[in-house]
Amino acid sequence: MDEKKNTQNKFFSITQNIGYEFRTTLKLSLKYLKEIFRSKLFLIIAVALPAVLMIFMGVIFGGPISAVQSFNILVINEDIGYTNDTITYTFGDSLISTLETITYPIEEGEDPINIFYVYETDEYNQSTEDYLIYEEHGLHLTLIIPENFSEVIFNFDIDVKVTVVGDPVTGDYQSSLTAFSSIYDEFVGVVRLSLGDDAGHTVITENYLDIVGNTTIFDLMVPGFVIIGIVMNIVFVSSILTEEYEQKTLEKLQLTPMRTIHLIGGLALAQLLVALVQIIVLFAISLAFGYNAIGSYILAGIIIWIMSLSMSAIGMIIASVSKKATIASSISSVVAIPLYMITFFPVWGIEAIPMFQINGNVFGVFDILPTNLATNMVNQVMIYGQTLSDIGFEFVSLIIVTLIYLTIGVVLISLLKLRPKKE
Amino acid sequence: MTASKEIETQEGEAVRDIGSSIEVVDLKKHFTSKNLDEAVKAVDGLSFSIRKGEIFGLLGPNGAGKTTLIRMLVGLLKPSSGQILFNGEELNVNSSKLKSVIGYVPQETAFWKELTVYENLSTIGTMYKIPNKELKERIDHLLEGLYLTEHKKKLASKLSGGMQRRLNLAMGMVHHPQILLLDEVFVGLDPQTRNYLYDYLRDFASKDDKTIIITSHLMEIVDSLSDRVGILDLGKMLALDTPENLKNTHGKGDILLLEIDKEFDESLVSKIDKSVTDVSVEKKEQNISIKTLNAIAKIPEILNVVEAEGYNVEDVKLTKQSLETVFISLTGKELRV
Repeated sequence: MDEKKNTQNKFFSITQNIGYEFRTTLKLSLKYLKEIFRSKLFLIIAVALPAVLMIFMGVIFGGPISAVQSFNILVINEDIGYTNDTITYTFGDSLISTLETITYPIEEGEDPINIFYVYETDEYNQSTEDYLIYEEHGLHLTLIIPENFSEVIFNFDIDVKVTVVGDPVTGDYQSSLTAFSSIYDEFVGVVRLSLGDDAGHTVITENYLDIVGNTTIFDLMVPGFVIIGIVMNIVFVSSILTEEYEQKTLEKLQLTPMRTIHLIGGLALAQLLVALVQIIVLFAISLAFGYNAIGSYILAGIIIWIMSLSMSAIGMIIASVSKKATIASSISSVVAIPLYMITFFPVWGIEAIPMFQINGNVFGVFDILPTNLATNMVNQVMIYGQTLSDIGFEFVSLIIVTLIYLTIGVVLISLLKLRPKKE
Repeated sequence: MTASKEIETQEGEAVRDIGSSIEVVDLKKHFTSKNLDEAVKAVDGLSFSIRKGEIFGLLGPNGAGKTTLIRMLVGLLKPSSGQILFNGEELNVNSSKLKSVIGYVPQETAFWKELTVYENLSTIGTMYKIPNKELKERIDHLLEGLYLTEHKKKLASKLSGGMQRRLNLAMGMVHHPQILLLDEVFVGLDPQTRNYLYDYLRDFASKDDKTIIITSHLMEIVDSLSDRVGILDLGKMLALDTPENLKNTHGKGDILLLEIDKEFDESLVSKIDKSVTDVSVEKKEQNISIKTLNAIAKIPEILNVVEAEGYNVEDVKLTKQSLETVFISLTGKELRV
């Protein structure tokens, strides 16, 4: 009977202790949330600023991208040729040769650059339109030359038709189509003139891809803007912790039975909730301004959410070496700048610098910065519709990088701020 | 205060007394600085004990080591050497049990500015693992006692200086600690709150043998509130005893100022000096200043001598000897605020 009573008491005591642990962490979390949301500076820097930037960029860069110098064209040449007076004409091949040889100079004295790089394939099926083919070859447009192409050119009364396939609202597609149209018109005109007449028209039938999103510069910037808001959390975490130290409230907490884990847990939890609000608000604004996302918002949100923990950790690292909140926020701002500048690397087209490889997956030098990993992943998910299995390596890398930052942050804050002082 | 009757009056006695709430054994704190050749001895080999239920006053000029000592007692500062025992247990800064029985109200106000008065108290109370219902009752009681009830929804940053000090105080007491350490808490309080706090501390200490250690520049409060007083200077305990014993042992006595009805000469001064034992008499303009221990008892005798010489006393002013005079006598300094 006594044994049963003892077991019951033990169970009650354990349950009560667990309850206290949660209550302590939640109370601290609530305290930090109140402090953050009552701070006008937070609302301005972490929500309003990225939102305004996003609206501004949405208006300016919501249009298609057209930044490339040469276009990659996939050609499916179905032209069977045309025989006239024992001579067989294959104008399809001639058109391809023309596309391959046309160049233009960038600057005087520089080597000319090809307008088109042509990739040929014999078969045309739906898979050639697939995103992966476009992605692998960096294709901007697919050209389908019909089997009667040569015959139609000989028949002066009939319009000369080809079909192009591409993403209608991307700048690359639109630019490559414009370039192709003028070359195609000129090619048909020159050929027909050489045959004796320049009558008739050229017709380009467009088929649109519906797999690739209508990517704009703004689309590439959206993850960056959401992440900027989260990066600013470094400032809040470091300032709040340093203020606790500076205002001696940390001493008040140290005198209580509260432990480091409660403090760090409470702060991290508050930061996660703040990040959740930021993610929802900023993605909602991006949607309102025409964010062409085809992927999972939940997955993108989770990626940014995990990344936000590393921002808490960086805030802790800064707080551990700062004695005043003003110093902490200055250091945080300096640290935050490269962290969010890196989120625009995809827009600027900066290539990754490999650090090491695991099973063919490359971990880049900039991937040690969680914002870089997160931006790339969010772009993959939202613009190209990739799933968790597609970005598995990067996702695991983000978790590991975040855990490393968290470990460093917790150890430093415990050693430098939460132990009895020697001086 | 019944506890005061039980207190030993000899300095340094019973350091290992079982009834002690706090025992300090050869405690040292030396600060080193690149600019100084020698380490600064903020606390220099202190040994004393404080009993359960005792109100212990700590006096000392600026830089005497009071705050350093208190910060070591609560575990915020690591001693260079020595021992601190709480109820016989060595101070372990990580002991949850120990933290629950110690309350500390620092000299500087420390609270979360962006939280309301109630939220500040509720947060700190939760850290002490006080159940919600009980915490609410305690907070309401404290707010009422410290005249903060109508301000409980105000942000702490919006409070006046006096209210902020009261909140600071409440935050150190919300968990009903067994041992309460107060560092200059009376500074900046209005008389009403000061009186409340005075009564509250007396009441607090009388219940369940609670111990209070208090530092203050307000001598009269330390004098009337403390069971024992320690006078600290340059990190050493110069004297430790009950206020009365300190005054009797180290004081120069009370001062009687007699206003005489007409011109008098040095012969009257010399007559009093010879006729009354253990007095030091001085002529000060139209008055006679007499310094002596237990002056009240000697007033009739002095008045008789004056009248016998043909003079009348128009007015008598008595200045009782105070801890301040003891303090000055021991440290050679005035207590600066």
